[in-house]
Amino acid sequence: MRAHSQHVVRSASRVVVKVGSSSISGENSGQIALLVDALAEAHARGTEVVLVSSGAIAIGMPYLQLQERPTDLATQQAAASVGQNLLIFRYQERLDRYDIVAGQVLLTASDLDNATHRGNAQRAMERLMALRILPIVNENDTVATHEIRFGDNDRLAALVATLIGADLLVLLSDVDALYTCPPDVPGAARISHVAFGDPLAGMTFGATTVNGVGTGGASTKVTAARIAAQAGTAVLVTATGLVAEALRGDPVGTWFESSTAPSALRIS
Amino acid sequence: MSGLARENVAGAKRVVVKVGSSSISGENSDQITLLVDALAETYGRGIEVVLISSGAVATGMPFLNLEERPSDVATQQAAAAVGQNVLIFRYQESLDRYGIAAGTVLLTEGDALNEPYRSNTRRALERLLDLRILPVVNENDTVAVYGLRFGSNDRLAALVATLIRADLLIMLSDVDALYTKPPHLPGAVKLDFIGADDPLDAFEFSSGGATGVGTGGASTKVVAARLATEAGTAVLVTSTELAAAALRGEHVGTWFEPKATQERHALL
Repeated sequence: MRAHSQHVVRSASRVVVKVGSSSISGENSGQIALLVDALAEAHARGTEVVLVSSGAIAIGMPYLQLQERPTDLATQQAAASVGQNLLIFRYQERLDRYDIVAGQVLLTASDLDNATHRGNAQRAMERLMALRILPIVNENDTVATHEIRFGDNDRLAALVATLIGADLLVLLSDVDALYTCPPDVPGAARISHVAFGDPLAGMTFGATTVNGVGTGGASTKVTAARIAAQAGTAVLVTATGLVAEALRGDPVGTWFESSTAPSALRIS
Repeated sequence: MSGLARENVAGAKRVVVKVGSSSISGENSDQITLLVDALAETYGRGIEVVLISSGAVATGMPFLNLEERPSDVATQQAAAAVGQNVLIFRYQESLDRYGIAAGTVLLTEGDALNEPYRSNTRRALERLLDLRILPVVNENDTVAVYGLRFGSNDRLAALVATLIRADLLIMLSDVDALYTKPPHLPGAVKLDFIGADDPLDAFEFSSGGATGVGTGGASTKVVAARLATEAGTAVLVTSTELAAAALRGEHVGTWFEPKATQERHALL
């Protein structure tokens, strides 16, 4: 009954949801409402929810009077510095209707390598969830250097899921699932289930690369999913438009079975 | 080269203003307007301004239904994660009157002290200033808790002022100046000018804030001031009410003369 194994999602007690920049900025900024509605529904069931959201640079750009995405790191940092405020504000504006308060958590990769910072971040997030606050996590782009960047927030999301021992990580983008080859290529077939340790041999996953920095794409999702699965977190890859279905446990997207999945999420 | 002289404050090129929690939260939250007016006036004269603002924990407290500052670090972190968003929103709302965009910069001490983070942080701040964005800096309390544990951002302010080679650091609190002993004690005399090499051991500086919200006291200001003056940045300690007067170069508060240093721009 693999196709319906995702019903266990409903019993997950801790879920990390990661959304990409293109899903919530520019012409897709309306999707923030849809995303927040789905998060609020899960929150109301008593699920602990953490949102990992990109989008600060894209949202900040217009305020720097820049026509296109800046290519130098310093200007990207400046855009992120302005955009992060607006990003959180937009989420909070929508969360207000559910009386949910957002808490901002900005992390760099080096924070998670530093035992003290890592412990501080873990403690802060545990307390936020205990207080029923919705943590909204992003890379601290303003102080992240090229050398130390997470590279993409898929990896950040996997590390956060691991940090807090989440049952489930949901990676959202503009594509409904992973495919055996890029979905615009003839013969591409949806992958619905990935067993733990499956090498996914013979499949091609596209990478989106901007200025040498991976900013998403199927290949970073596969890599991130493996990090999380290895640490015991099941992973679902799907589209932002399907987030409500995904969090209800409907059979959408691509499901990655975890290594030592908690029994509630193990697929038999 | 000799640092900024007190009579030349109006001609400073780059100023860091640090404001304490009790000056801008709770019953003093309307002082944000007054502070922003003073910053905008300075900004309007073409001066580069960076704001270091405490107050995230105090601002977040009501959203956690807390009446008193929490005593445990985890709850302080949670309050800060919520309060930072609200604090920035209040600043931006006030800055909107002047068409100035704020950029959030959340730092750990390592971001200001250690390479490669230090250079990266400086570059990001410089770029924000080039773009005429007002950086609003705070400690990243989710991952670093120095300020929470040691009671103030005075040290962070001095590190940032030094990092970006500000001409002047203005530290604002509820007291108009430093005194020879706590100002409520009989015989306390206002300190007007402290030379770069003047000894300070004859004075008695209190270590705690009076209000229980902001936790810094006169002693953390003196230590931070010396850190900045050693690096060639002049320091003025005064009250938030007097921010506009201070930024116009009026004779208020306690002035710490900067040390004459080597040509500060030659090495880097």
